[in-house]
Amino acid sequence: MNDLIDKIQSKLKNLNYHDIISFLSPKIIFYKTKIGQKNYQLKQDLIPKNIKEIKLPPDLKYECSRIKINEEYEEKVKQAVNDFSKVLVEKFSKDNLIVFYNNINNLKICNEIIDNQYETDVISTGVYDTDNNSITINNDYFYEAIYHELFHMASSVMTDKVTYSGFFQLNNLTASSIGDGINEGYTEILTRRYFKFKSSKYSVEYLIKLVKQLEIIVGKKNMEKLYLNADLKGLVLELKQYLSDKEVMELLMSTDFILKYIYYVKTNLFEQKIIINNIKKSNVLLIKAYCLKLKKECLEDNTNINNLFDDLAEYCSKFPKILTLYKHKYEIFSENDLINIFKENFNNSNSDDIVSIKK
Amino acid sequence: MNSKKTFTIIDNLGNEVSYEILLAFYLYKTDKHYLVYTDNKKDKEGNLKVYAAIYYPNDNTKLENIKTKEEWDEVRSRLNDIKEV
Repeated sequence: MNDLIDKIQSKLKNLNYHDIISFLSPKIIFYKTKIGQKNYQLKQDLIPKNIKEIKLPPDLKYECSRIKINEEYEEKVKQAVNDFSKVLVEKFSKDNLIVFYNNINNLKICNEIIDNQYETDVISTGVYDTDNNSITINNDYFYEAIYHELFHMASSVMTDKVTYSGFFQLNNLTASSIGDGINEGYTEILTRRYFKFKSSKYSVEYLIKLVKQLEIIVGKKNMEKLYLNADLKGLVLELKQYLSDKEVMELLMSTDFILKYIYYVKTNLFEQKIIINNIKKSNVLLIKAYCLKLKKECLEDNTNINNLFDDLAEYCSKFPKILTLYKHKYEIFSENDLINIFKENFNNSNSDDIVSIKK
Repeated sequence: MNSKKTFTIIDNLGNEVSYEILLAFYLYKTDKHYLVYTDNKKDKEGNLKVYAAIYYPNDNTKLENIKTKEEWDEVRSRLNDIKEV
């Protein structure tokens, strides 16, 4: 048991942080202001001559240097990687650390120091590149991004044909992919669970709620194991206990759709309705799966039916009822949806099965 | 909105000239600090005159010309971000 952990700790001690860090031409802006007019002419080679003294404002007297930047950044990265490794070793069994162990050896971390004074609609905080086993971090969001991207690193395997990253799979030949929505949602769940930092990726917020509901169905330990072993197939098999093949695909595809479109682009009313339909579809499938899971447990354990409905009610209460998209409010979960799911899953029962529901 | 920042150059004869700072930034790639500034005067076409130089935060006697096309491109790109549209 300790053999792999010893190896991981040994690798960490021997990691050369100077080499794993590279910079993507960052610039540090000390000061900027708006030019007061449209037209200006940049004059080259006109430095004043015979300078005796230059009086700069005090805040421009700060001297940057590569050595200073590298040292500060190395220290930050080293601390983050060590903290991350410590948590993984403490919280997860060694069977779930194989991918992490394989990737930590040649991990690269790139830093992008960018000016965020002028806001944009979407902030990119960080990215993990499976091809190069590299993480690129927006330095203004270092802690929000680093642990999230390290989780991607700890769950990614690349083969010639397929890239596996947590619950995401990409066909390297056709570029078709699946599972990105659930994967991003779960990566963020683990980041917040173990590191208490929130990613600033807006599109993940709603998915986190959905994927938490999925984790209740699959089980926390099981889902963490499947994720760290990049085992989407295992997750699909878990869901197929309760949903058909088609329904499992619908859940994966609708969560992918939600990730891509929920906040990233400005959508019109028609497009927003498509997003809402995908959310409703995900909700219905998750509740159906949970219903069937509870039903199965009820039959196996011979538990009280009231407990089943209590569990179900609590589960359903965690789904948001309203979602706002670009100032429009949508109902995404209603009593009618719930009643229809109950009727579908309990009224079709046989005589040995659980009795019909109460409204 | 930021209040205006200025810097002053004193020449060997004791003459002082103040310039308004438009931009001050550091480039990791060149390991240099850049100042982009204006004397708020216009040329014959009515364009605001803007200048750029390399400065040394810890040497208050030195300003250098920017020499490479890459650096000038960077200055232009930064200026483009701050010009009025």
